[in-house]
Amino acid sequence: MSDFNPSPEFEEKVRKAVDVPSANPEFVNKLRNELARRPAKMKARFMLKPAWAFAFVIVALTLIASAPAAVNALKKIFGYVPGVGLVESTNGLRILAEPVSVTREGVTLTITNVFVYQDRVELMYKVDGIKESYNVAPDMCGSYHPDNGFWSDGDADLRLPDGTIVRRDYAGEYQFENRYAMKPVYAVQVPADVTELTMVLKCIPFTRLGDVPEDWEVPFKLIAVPAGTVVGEPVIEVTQPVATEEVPASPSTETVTAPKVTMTLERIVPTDANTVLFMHFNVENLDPSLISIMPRTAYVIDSLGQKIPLRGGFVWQPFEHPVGSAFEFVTESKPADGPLTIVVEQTMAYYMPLYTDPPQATSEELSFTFDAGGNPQRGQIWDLNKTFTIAGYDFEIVSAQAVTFSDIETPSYIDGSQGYDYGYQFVVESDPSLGLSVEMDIHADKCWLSDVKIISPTPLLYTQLCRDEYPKGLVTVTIREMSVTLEDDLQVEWKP
Amino acid sequence: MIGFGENRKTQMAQPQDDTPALISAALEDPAAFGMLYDRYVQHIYRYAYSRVENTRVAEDITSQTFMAAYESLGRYRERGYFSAWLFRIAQSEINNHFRRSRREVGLEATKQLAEVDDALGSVIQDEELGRLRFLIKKLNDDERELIRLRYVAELSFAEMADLLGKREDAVKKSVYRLLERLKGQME
Repeated sequence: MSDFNPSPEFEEKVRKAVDVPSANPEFVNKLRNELARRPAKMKARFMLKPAWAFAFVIVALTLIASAPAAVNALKKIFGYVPGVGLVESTNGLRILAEPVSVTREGVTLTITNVFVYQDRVELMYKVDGIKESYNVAPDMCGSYHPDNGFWSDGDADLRLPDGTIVRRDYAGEYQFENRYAMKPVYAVQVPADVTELTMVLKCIPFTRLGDVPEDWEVPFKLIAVPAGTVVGEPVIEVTQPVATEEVPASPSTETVTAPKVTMTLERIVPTDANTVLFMHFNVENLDPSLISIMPRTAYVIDSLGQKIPLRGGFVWQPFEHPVGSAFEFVTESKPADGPLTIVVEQTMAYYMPLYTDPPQATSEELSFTFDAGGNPQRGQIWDLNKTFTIAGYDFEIVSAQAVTFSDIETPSYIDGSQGYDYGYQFVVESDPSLGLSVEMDIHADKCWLSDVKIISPTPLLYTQLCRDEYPKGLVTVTIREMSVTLEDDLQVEWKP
Repeated sequence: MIGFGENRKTQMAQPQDDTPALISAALEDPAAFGMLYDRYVQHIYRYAYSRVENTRVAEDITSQTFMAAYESLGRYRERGYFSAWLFRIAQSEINNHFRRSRREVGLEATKQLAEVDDALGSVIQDEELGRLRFLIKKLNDDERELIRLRYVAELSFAEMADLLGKREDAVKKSVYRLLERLKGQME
């Protein structure tokens, strides 16, 4: 074994190499307030019914559509399994014939779900009957493998009928209701004639070796999903897409290639607890520096007029095109039966010309300088009048002012200045109809803490603070990001 | 962009600290959950950001993590480190994102910072950091995850062991071997 002990200096270099921004205090404060407003739900709840109780309800193909058109047999066929998501059964899906349990010394390992797709196997299992709550112990299940640090004994392998052992490619997600539940995914093509596989598990993660039965082998059978069937909850395919009105970013500047966003409801899944909505955002007039379109606030209004917030499963999509993609929204409570109005407010368009691939601007093109002199004083102002254009949107850095943390401090800064006490505040003017915001970086050591304020409707005040002292002499600042607000709501009406 | 300076180098709660008391208090009084939130929010956010490289998505994941933790706290039962439990939830939320997007990249967020650092004027340091970032990006997913958990999330080895289901000494050796390799490649 290695006796290498890294020096604190080298560890600090690694830390700096992987450094990332911390959360904006305004976000931190907002989330804390949101948590505080939520009703107390922290008492232990009853266990959710086992996944297989609903996951393997094979539902005859009775897709309900907003329009009564029959679903084309060639279209993709989806079901919805809570905790799993959409399950596509278009191309020869095989699933677990029935849940399989093995009990040893009071500990029961149950394979609850298996989905055998053409290119992968997704397996889900849980473990019941472990009495002790294990804390970290040196003899806990899971050991280091010299060949690959994290092929752990606690990772379930898959054994094919020919004896081939397939190791997981994806560690699996934690199931809240069962600490020992795992969802390994295997990138393997299982031959079509295979009807039985075996899950092999050396030891159960999070247990102490020797305390709980080990060397588990759980064979399970597969069945093919007949063509034209749905696995899980029926998904209502919106076969006549219900699209929204287009959202103009701003008509005020003729040169602007304004992104036009439309929202389409593609699928809807009413469950016992909530309603799941699958939406698609289409964006036209893409500027190559546009990196993301993100809805900020979304809710539904049900047939009783109740406004129910939506929690979004936003698709990760920076630095790639096409911008705009599928979003999964879940209602926070179950809406009343009947029509739904889905509303998305404050869609934001984000542009980062320096960080697209390929970059759409050079650092020099998005930078400006001013001479702060050798002894900048709080309150001192420098007129800049620097105009920039990103994606056709014009804005002007009007001035810079030497400020201190106390000039921008609000109650939301729960952590105080943390030493970032001196910096510059930039006045940014733009067309007030744009809801434009920019973020910048001062090219100086130890400049980090930032703040954005909008004196409605304009200007925007962007501040960046530095540790210990004001940057002196020629100060260079680079514009990192610009965003505009697409003010119009996106709205979709859905009638069952 | 917000920096938390030296604070973020403070490792998180150890079992013998007041976290269990805070959890007990939070179970009785939801308002007390705020203290747990304050303790871990930046660690979770920074870890999420290092995975998704997008402020909005990292905020969303952080929100979902604490919402889920808030609602599931009654099931925590002091099994292992609270931080490991919380990070497991965050990993689940992140995995859900990647499962939907079907792709993952690692530590690319440092690219932005690299470019910012390039302008700082410390040429030698930049060369070293640039080389180190390059080497870290070349690591496999599991190795990068070790780096993230240790140096972005600032977890202790014991917390990492709990989270990863490994032995503490094995995790420590894995990290140190990794650093030894990186240091060797830097020389």
